[in-house]
Amino acid sequence: MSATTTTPVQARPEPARLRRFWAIVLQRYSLVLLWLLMIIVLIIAVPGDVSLVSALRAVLGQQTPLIFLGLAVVITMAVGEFDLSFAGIFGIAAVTVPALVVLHGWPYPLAALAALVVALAFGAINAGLIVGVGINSVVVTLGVASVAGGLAFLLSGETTVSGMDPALSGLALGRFLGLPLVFWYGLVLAVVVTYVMSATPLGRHMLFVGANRSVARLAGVSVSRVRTGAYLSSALLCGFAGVVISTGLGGFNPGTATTMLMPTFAAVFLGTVAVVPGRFNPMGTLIAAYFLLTGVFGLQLLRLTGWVTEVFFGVALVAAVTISFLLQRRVRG
Amino acid sequence: MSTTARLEVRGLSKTFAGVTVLADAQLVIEPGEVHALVGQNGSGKSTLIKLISGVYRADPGGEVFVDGHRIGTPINPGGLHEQGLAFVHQDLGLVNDLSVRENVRVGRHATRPFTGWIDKVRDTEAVQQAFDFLGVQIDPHAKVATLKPSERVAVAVARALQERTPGSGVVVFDESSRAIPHEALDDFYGMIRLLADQGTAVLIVSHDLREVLRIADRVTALRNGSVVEMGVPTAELDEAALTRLVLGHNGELDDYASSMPATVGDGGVELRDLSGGRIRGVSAQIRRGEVVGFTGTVDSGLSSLAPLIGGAIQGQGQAVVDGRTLDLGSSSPSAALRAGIAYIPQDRHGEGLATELTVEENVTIPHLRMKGRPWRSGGRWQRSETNAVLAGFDVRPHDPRAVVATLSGGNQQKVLMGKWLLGGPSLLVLDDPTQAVDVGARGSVLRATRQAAVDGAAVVLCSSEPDDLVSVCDRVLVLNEGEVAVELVRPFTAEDILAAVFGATDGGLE
Repeated sequence: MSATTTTPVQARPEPARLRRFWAIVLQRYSLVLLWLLMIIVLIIAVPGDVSLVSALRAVLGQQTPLIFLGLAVVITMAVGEFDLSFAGIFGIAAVTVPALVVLHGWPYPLAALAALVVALAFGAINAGLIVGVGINSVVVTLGVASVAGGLAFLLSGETTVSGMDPALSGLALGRFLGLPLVFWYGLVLAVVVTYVMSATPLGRHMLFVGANRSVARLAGVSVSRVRTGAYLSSALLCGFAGVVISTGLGGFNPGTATTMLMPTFAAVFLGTVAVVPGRFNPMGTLIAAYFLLTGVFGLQLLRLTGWVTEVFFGVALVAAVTISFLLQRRVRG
Repeated sequence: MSTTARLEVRGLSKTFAGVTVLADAQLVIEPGEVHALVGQNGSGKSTLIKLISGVYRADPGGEVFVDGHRIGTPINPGGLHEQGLAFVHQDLGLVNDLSVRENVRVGRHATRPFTGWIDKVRDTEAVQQAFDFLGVQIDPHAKVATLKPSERVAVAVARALQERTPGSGVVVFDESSRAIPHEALDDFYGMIRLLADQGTAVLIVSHDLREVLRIADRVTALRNGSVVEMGVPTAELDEAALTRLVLGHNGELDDYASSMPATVGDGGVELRDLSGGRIRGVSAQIRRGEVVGFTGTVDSGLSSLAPLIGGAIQGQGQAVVDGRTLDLGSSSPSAALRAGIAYIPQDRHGEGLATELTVEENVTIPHLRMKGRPWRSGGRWQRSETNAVLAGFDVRPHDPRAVVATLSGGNQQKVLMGKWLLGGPSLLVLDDPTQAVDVGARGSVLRATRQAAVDGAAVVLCSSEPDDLVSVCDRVLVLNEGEVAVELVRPFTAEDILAAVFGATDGGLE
């Protein structure tokens, strides 16, 4: 008698817990599942032999500043700032390295350092005008983006600067576990940013500055310092992206920097539907970035390039923001 | 009862994500009456108003009639003014930078034929008409920012009344008196009476039960998402009966100051010659274990005092906390916090809590630096301390991961109190903590205030509610023109406080 009654009672929590587990997986990691699905579809759809490993290697091994720039934008967005200048800062940092090395004969380490300093200087201009003076961030960063973009052309003599020592490219392209160092740099930085944002008081302070500045200020958070720090660290990440990418390529064409604007925003906003839904978060951005890169890679394999890519990023951006908004609304009821 | 009701609501319900927040609500308002809608936070009364105004879409099945004409559901918010329904919201919905005319006419500007430009002459006439009807004299071209509080109310009412035949329609005041200072309330009540006397039906939503008894003819009460009493005449009610109606039980404020005696300890806080905002030279001693109330009229400087002590606004003077001097000339919220001062601001949503973040994040934010390490905030203390706050204040639901916006106003206020009491402050400064919380939550907020003193903190309670002050304070300092005018020491009554507040004002004017 007792056996028949206790069995169902004990059995009940199991499916309930399992269902909750799946609910969390679906809510937080549906983007990862979608990504895997996309890869499988690609492998089947693309003519010829493409194995899962080679497809993954092709996507993860891409030489793109997308991860670095995505992290940079996540940092500013998280504290409630809007930054349109990240691509410009990335561009001028990326041009600085080959311009100094090839055109002016600087040693590489010094040129790389100079690129980081240039990026930080632009970040400081952003912070000074937006946080210090109190000017609208969209206006300031739009202007700074244009200035940085223009100066990049000046530095490069309006062409692609190339001709750096090919041996140097190993710093970016050298392989570790079958994937280029660029991938590992991005992964390490994403882990670091994730740790800072989710596990340290600084990260929580950033969250509150982004959510409600008055509340943050009254809780003893130095709001200006957090905002300034966000602009500076964001610029530093853009500078690092510039150094890594131009080193890998052995040069840089300043015209390509602005093409990063759309994919980065798409990745950052798409990232808000993953891992920590409704919030700007680095791991979500990382996943979203590779999700988008896979999409573009697939389109290329299907011989669809050019206009399709732009449409793809645009759709991804708007869809991401829409989904994120709907998620938020459901939370608030 | 053969007359047609001015406003009739039948069977209105609202379900959010499977949770019914309002079930089968009924409401009948006759022409020429002032009807009050009362209920605690979370009782469903704001939901009902939002359903009638079309902000939320009601569940299928409900019906809303104005003068017998069915206007929904579904309700078209754009057509409500024509159908006879007008709303005056909590913050009055005025834009300070625009003129009176623009504020009144927004959305219904008269336009010239062909060009479609705004016809300022006709607009001004329409505004003037509405003001004439209300019997007020306000320049239609003045900027709203330059108006007195009572005039701002008139502008909001004029917007609701324009282009109406006198005596028609329904005007809904949704917690409007909250935005109105005490001195201007008489004018406001007069205006409501005037509307009702003309035959317009007035629906007021209010937390303030005395206000309801003073101006309303009948009352409809909501509890837990249902109408529990419909159209009870206020002539049959006193404050106790109305409180019972709202709470379902007696809700009298306990005399916490007597029932929770605190030992006055050594040390405490000395405020030396505080100035800033409207405060001019306030000095006071608050010992540990003592609750000292500050009160006064809106012009007395009362509203500047708490932010001044908390470092939120700039000023002069010193606060000596347990022998350590904090210079308020160069203070900041973080400096005040380090000195052991916890300041609970009045504006819960604007300054108190980040509502889109979780309870745990909000409760722990001021304490991260003290209790965490720079490289690791630590999860365990956050969870256990938050749970302690949730249990200690009986916050519902008991869920550290709940988003603050999903809690009711009273529960949010409890979270706000818990957030600041968690650190065991030396000085707790509260700025009108019972504003816009219901009777039930008010008791727990006041009890927590007293408990802080019992636990050894010095407590400053800035409040314009005499009942709150009587309930928890050992002493009350009455401000007038930025200075301490009167000091009351227990025992005192709410009447004593009111007499001191207004007596002080008269004395100051003579």
